Amino acid sequence: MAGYVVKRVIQAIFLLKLVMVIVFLLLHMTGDPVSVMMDTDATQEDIDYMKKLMGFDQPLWVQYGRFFKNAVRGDFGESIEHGEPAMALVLERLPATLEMALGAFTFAVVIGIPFGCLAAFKEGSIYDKSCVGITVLIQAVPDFWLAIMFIMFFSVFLGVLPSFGRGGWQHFIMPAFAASSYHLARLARLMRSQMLEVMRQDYITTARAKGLNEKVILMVHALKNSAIPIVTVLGLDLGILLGGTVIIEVVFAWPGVGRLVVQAIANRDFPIVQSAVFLMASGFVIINLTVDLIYAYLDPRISYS
Amino acid sequence: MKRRWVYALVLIMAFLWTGSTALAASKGKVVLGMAGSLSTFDPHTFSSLPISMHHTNVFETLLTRKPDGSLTTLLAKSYKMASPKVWEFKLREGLKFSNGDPITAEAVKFSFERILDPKMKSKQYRYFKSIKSLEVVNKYTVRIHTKKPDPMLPPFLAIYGFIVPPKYYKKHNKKFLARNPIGSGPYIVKKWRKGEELIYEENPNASRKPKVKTAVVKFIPESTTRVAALISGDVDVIDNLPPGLSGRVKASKGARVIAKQSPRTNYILMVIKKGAPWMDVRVRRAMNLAIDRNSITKNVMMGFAKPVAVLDGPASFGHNPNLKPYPYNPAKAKKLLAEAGFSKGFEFDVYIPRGRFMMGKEALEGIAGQWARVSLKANVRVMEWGSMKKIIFSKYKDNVKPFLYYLARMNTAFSTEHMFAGAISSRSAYGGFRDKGIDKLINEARSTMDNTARDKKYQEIGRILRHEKVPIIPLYQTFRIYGVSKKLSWTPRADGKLIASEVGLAGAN
Repeated sequence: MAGYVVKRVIQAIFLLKLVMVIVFLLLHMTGDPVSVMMDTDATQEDIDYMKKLMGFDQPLWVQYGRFFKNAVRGDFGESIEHGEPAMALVLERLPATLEMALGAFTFAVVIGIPFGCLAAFKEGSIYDKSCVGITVLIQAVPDFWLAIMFIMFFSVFLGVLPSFGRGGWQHFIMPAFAASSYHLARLARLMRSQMLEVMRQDYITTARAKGLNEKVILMVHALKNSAIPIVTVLGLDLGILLGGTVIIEVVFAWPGVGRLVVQAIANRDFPIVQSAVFLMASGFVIINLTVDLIYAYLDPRISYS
Repeated sequence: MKRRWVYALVLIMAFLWTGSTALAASKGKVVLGMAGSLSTFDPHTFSSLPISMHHTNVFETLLTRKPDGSLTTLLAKSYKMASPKVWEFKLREGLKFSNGDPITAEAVKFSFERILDPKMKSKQYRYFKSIKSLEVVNKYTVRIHTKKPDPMLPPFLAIYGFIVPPKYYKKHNKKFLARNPIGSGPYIVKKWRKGEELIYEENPNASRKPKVKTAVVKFIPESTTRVAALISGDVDVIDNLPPGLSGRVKASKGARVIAKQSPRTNYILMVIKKGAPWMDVRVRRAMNLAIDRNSITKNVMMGFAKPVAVLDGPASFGHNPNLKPYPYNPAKAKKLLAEAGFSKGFEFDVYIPRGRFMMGKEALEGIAGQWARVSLKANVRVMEWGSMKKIIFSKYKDNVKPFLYYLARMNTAFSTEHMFAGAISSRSAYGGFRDKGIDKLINEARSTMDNTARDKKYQEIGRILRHEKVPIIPLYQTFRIYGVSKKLSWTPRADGKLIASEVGLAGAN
């Protein structure tokens, strides 16, 4: 087990390095920060002067070498637009992103899983049918549209929730729910189909034949056995939520990492993009590793030794 | 059972309601919902419209613009051209920075030297690159020596060149100064959470008082959300209101729409080089005549834009009031194209950045439709801004097919020269037109120190461009559109800036 974890960590380090190189090259190929930040009244002379000052006139491999040398020491450089250390800027935004991602994730789990279970349990009933219908609808609706409708209804029409920003729990409900909507619906549907499949297994019939309480069958035998694909999806969902709630952040003016990074990409502010990609890729790697370890717990047949 | 649910719901609603009214209470303060985010409060490193809008609350410049756009003094009491290469400024006496330090000639010298210092890598450098040195004559007199005569310096001194206390800015490092500004403006920064909110508080040492004691800026990038925030009363004023949403603000009970023509000119540039059909001036004229500018400003821009003849509007120095925008005359356009040998038209690409210019893509698609009526087939290519710049900078390479590109420029310097230098001169990184004769005229005008004579020269250049050279496709100046709560009193500025310290409460004064 320990050997497996060490192997995965070493793999992860190489993976991160590869990601950093790819991001570096992609960003540099599509434009340089000086050209992007110079207004449309600049002369060529102005642009060349700034490029030289900032070192963007040097060959790409020299620039990458400089970046890499500093990055391994944990120094991701100074943001071009903000004039402050890039990693610190990203870390400053991280709590807001975590708050929303974890909030949305919790909504998805707490609402999605029980709804899916219940639908499976009462298969064919009105409840089941409406649950399936609603989740398909939620999945089909784009989250930004849902977000705008929330604002229109709860903030403008009812006037009960603040229309934007971060603050108390009132600020948090709409963005977290909007961000979770797709994941919530998908999770509910997946939970339902998984449960239905498991409920048809022989061991469930055996358990029933043994006269076990229906609750025990559902909670212990069915739930645990249908959990593996759910855990995989949960891991993916969490990763996506941590890295990609940009649209929701923009709609609700939520001060998360996503907005910072999108702005940084537009400005070719490499240090910020690199810092954020490093953090998000690390997050994904950790989540993947955790998911793999949970597999072993859920299904003893899976072993990593 | 059912009734219990109803009670619970009512309770939750009541709870939510009390929560949000606590937030909405705003006495003696204004809340601004602004689209652009602010990256730094160091006044000497970067330049952008949000930066100049916000820094103006906290710092002061030697000169400034009145809301009507006219140039006036601020920290300077008076200024004059002592000799062609020397500008002399007399400062107002006895003024203080918010930390109590006096505002002296020494501070002015320090501030400009900080911008010019290569180690600062300041983006504002190019506005002041003509400066050779600064000289402190006495405590309240400072001279700026330029490398060559530079009549363009005053307009830039009204935008950037914020004066800071030397002691404080020498003592702290760049990282600290990016968040902790000290200036002499009407406000000080009480709290600033990047990308979220900025709280201004009255500066007790300021010579100019803000209209309201506290101003809170909320950074809201999405326009639909800004409108919702305004209508629900969470904010009092919003900027960058898209024309399409103005109706919703108008229909609301508490807010109105305020719009004003800004010095933001939209235009289409052409890469004029060998192999381009538009090497022929008749083709360029035809492309201009085939556009119905009035229809575009009325139908696409919903009236929030005004056609221009060249590159500038009436508020600019050097604007020629006798020049009219190109009329809509497709018959003549067709005739000119036929004369130039393009009776069957031709096909070309025209680039526009995504989401950067108000209704730009929609307008360009309209224009492409109008061009199609004279057999010109324009392929509208919507690009990410950074990638589009890369294409623009490769325009003169041999393997690049000539193309057109839509740009807009905010000319807060109100200077025709500035627009010419950025779009017409062959030195411009963005322009696609190279003409030695025009370059010479622009250079001559720029070194003419007499204002009346210089104004005439720019007007003449404008005439040549409009009637003879036709190097670009001028379109219109867009308006800056705001949604403003009826409880506010505020006059929109000619330079399109929303400056928090100028926003007041109705009936307060």
